[in-house]
Amino acid sequence: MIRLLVDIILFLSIFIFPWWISLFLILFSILIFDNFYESLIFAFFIDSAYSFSLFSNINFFFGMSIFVSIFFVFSYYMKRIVEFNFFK
Amino acid sequence: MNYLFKNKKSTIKKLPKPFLLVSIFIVIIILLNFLAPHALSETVHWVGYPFWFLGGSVRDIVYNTSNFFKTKNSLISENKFLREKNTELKTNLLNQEIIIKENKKLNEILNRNKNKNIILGYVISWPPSSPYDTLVIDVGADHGVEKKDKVFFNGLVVGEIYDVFNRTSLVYLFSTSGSKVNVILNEKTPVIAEGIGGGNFIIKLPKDIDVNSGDKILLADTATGLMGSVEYVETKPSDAFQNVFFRSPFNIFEIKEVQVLNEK
Repeated sequence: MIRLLVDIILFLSIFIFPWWISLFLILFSILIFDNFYESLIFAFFIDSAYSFSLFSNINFFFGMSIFVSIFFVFSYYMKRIVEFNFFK
Repeated sequence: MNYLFKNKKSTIKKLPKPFLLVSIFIVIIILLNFLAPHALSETVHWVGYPFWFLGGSVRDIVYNTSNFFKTKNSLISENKFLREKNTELKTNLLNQEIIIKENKKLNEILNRNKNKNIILGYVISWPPSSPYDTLVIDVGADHGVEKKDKVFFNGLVVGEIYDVFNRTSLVYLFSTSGSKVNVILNEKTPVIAEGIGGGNFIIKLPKDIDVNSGDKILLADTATGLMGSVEYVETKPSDAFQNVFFRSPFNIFEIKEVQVLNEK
């Protein structure tokens, strides 16, 4: 139930809040929930809605998605060392 | 003699499931980037259309609420400043109308009358919402907007249409950090201006080119695309170049209405 509420808040934040608030909420949610795959979908949403080519030589449109993916993998290993107990 | 274990333990370590799924996601992203980067953008814009309007309403409520707590003194001084600015702008507007009429006459003489269509659009998403310094406006292909159309705010060119969807369009701001645009300095010198974000630009010029504060900057593609005026010129004795800083005279984050120029 809490996870569903967080999903709704994250979805709305993409369109309502500044991007750095959305990114902070996404990264925070990755840390407190197990296997928060929705974060990848939300990052993809942000890139699809607002992105244009980041570099002049290569057309690359999914910077946020790649960043969140890397953080997701990083958090997997970090959670083995540090335990986050917000909802337990 | 060596004996095999009854149950041979597999020595191959399996990759964790999240790692596998993220890897598949990254591969899909890279494939989409090179094959169809905007395949799902139309869907996202269609879904986000009502929520962007909701975001605009929330923003207005927060802005009005914060104004409620302003002190009387700050409101009085702001009111005085705005009245003086209004008088100055009215005078400038009179001059501008004369110049526009003259420009139209000259275009007719030189037979340069193109079929121009101006489409009015409202901004529904501003840079703080977008991490890529882009605007989303509420006009799209259904209203006649096309890619590369120039976007104006009060006669000043702001950017161009980067992507068009049915009901919305994505506007690429010329002042986006790292972007380069061809401009004309003081109506004679063609140069390249580099955006540094927030409506600010920088031009690198040789020192012997004469530049002063207040010199006008025009977009090279359009004859009347005024972008701003020179704010500050930085020179160093040891450097053969000078840095010219200019900015748009309005706040990008407060634009509500834009005009899209569609030249057929």
